[in-house]
Amino acid sequence: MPGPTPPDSTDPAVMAARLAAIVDSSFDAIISKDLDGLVRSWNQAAEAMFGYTAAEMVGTSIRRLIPPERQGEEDEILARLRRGERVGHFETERLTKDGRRLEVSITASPIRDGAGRIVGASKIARDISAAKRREREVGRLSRLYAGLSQVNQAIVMSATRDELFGKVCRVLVEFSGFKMAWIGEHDPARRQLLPVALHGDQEDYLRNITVYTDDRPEGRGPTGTAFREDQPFICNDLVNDSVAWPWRDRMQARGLRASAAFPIHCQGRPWGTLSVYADEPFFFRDREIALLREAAGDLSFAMDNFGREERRRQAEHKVRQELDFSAALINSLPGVIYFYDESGKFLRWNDNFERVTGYTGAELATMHPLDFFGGEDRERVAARIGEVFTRGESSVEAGFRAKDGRVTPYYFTGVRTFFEGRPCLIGVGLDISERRQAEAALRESQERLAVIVENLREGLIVADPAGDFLHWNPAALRMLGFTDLAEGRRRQREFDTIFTLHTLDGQPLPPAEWPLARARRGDTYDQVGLQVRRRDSDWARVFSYSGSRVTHADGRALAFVTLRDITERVRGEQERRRLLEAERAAHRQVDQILASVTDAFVTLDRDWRYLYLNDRAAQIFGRRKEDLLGKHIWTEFPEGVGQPFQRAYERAMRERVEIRFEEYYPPYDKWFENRIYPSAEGISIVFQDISERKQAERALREAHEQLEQKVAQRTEELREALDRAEAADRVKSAFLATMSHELRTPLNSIIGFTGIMLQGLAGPLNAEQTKQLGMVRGSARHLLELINDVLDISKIEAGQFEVHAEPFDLRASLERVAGLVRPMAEKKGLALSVTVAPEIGTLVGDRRRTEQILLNLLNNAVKFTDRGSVSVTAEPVPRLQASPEVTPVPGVAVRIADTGVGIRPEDLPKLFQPFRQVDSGLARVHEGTGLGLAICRRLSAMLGGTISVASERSRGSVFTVTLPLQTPPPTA
Amino acid sequence: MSRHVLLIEDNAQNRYLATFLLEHHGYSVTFAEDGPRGIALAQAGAPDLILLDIQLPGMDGHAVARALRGIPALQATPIIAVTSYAMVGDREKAMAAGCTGYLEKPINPDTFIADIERFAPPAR
Repeated sequence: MPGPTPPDSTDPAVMAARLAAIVDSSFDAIISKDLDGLVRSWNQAAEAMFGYTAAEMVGTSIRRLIPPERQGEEDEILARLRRGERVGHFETERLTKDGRRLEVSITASPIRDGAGRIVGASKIARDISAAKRREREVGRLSRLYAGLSQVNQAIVMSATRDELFGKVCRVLVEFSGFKMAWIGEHDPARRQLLPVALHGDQEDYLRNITVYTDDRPEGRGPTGTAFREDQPFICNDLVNDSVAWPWRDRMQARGLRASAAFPIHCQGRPWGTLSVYADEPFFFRDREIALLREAAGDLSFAMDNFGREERRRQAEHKVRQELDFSAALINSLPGVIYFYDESGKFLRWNDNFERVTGYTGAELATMHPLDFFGGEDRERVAARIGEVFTRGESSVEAGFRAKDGRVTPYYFTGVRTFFEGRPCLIGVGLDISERRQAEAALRESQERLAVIVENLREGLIVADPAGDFLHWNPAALRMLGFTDLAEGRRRQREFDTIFTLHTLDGQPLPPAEWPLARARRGDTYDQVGLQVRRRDSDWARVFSYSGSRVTHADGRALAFVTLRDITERVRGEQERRRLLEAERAAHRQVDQILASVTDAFVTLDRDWRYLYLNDRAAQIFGRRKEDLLGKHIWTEFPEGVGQPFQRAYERAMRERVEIRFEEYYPPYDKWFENRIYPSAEGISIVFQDISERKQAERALREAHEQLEQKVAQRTEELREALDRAEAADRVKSAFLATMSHELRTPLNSIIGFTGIMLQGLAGPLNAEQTKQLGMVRGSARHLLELINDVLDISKIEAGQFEVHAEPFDLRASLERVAGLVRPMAEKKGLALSVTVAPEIGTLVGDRRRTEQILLNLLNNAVKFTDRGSVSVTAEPVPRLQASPEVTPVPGVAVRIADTGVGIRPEDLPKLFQPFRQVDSGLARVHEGTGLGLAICRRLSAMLGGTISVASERSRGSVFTVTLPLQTPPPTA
Repeated sequence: MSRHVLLIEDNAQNRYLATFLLEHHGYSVTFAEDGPRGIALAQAGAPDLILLDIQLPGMDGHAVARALRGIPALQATPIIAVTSYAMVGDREKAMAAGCTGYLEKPINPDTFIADIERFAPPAR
């Protein structure tokens, strides 16, 4: 039965050559060495990686690849290999021929001869420099981003510039990992950059150096140059770069290797610098520089913000000064002004108050407002004070009693105001005694006038211009004071001897200019007022004369004169003028008070007419007071119709409530704070221009929003960087999976044919051939194990590990696994027992993964036990709970107990963590397998179970695996 | 009478290895280097057992298995996938395509025949 023609590959030499070819095609350096560390084989990847050719390396010690400080590692590795252990994924540094340092991951496995003796080691070294570099770069960028976020927070939170700078330097050192950070302020006089904030400088480095901004050598470092040229300056090698020579030794001593400096601006002009220092050369690349430059930009922005804040404070200071000024003004005013709270405690008063009442300030401070009133005034005043606190304002006239008991009539007005959140009354009192007298006089004369008017009849004189005819009517005679009309008529021609006439301003009038004489001459006049006095007494009257001459058709003419006694009217007018003058004076006083207050003040009557406005209001309106008084507000300000102001005024007028609001008035492009108080006449409005405050608030708010946006943007950038890193990781896992597949294919031939030959199927072998082929098969199987491990890890890392659920017999699995390790146990003289409780039978789960876990644990148990026994027991667990959030289910517990070396208590927590043992465990002996247990733990978790260990040093270990009878479906 | 195995495998070394083992254990072996030729041989020769590589040039093993199962005369013929694919779900994919069993490469020469006979017991 002829088969296909066998290729000539049965020759072991050809097989070895083929294996060599496979080894040479690997990307990883594959090296074999003997137990003395002499290199036996050296593939092409090793040549490429380390720069030594195979001819240079084979037969020489591998130690020349190892940096001096790591020589101890090789001793440990060789010691472990001699014990038959595998060293997996050990990350370290190695030297290339040209002296570079490579970061490599090393996996070393012992090579056994046909008899199972360890004769050397195979070593796979992978260059992980690029991956490590990327890892470090991502780490560095993450720290930078974290630092920048903190900088932005500091900008938002810091109240002062110095606080902000201090925080920023601290954040750059503590979050972003810089060795030192400082901020320098430019001192133009000294041409220096003086540190105003600093962090990370424990040794007074900055105090001992001076950084200049001009072109001398001490000004040509990164910081000086960055300031002078107004752009970032990077020095990535402080030790060798000439710009750093003035400070080189000190920098070197402090571990400063690279530095970057950035200009900070204030209001668009260079202000100072931000400088950071890293402990490794060539730290600053494009992305780092861009991020830091942004941080410096943010600081400039914050500086401008502080500048605005300072201007706002100055504006506030100005307002305070104005307030002080108005306080001084109030004190100098003639009326009494006072300020007290709801309990009647006086808080403030002007100097005049003390002068008028005769009390000292100390006395007033303990007095009550009603102490100044007596009798019925006291009750009225109390009622009006109550009105002020309930309705907002009131006024009253009352007698104001001084300390000496003198009572003076006063007119008081009070307005409620809020001081430190409490209602208070601000009041003004004016002395009205003069006005009172004027009023009394007026009333009297008006009464008198009323009586006279009642009896008044118009006086009439008729005369013939040419002849003797002359008639005075009774009223006219009575006006002249004749009670006896007959006597009057009798003496009517000699009036010039009884009376004198004067003009109203007192000029005597000659008889030729008297009214009747003028009318006779033909003058016409209307309502001419003249004083008439008697020569023989102090009788005097004022008459209003009207006169004319009327000519009849027959040529005759008659002169007519009418007269009215206007004495009372003239006097009343004088009185009224005087009263009006007093009122005006009083008004002027109030006006002055209100004008001196910085708030604008307006009073509107119920018909929306201006009753009053102060200077400040007129100034804001840009109008003259007298042009507005008495005018209708919405006629004068039609642009205000429909604005929120109108609605607020109308509501206050209608509902008689006090309203406060802040509002923007577009026609003036200004913000106003408004308080509207209902008053007796209508409403009063006190308002204030708060545009500057609003602008500051808006600027602050905008800055805040902008910063939030920046933080969000950076978070997004960071996330993208992480995504890229994860994508790279997925590519790596896929690459490993493909590679492991490609490596399996040739192994199929190697393992298959060595097996056939060892079975003798291809013909008999001599002892030497059998031994050598055994070594080939051993190495090939080991390589396969390596590949399988890599594949498992890459699957777990890539999240591609799937768990199958099918029924299987746990007892059979335990027997099978025990069967695999039994030869090794027997060889070491260990007793191996398997005890399964009778009720244990079928599990539904992943048989292969379950066996993988058990085999791994059993292998370890046998490996780490030199005498005694290894026992496996399986028992049911009624309530298995793998984690707190799942409900308990029935399961089994498999215990694998050995009498081996045990594990130190401090190492127990790290036992199941991946790579931990490999990374740090070289110095220890027999302390677990590293990757294997990490795989076991993840597998048992995926199967819905747990894994745990109890151990006592030198007494042995017990590993316990629990598994549910039914593997739960995977949770997403 | 010796059992007849159809081996569909493109790799000459693997083909030689399997053929060697099978013939030593009394099987007769015919082989095809790709799927279409394998399907033609299966229709013509009515093999007792088909060993099918999954990673084949052109038409892959899954497609070949589905095609074979579409031929009425071959519906009961055991098809064993032999593959060095070892990624998640490979086994399920092979079974879904109609394979009876699944062996992972590298094959173990000590157990290869026993494994085959587990999936395709020899006739009495």
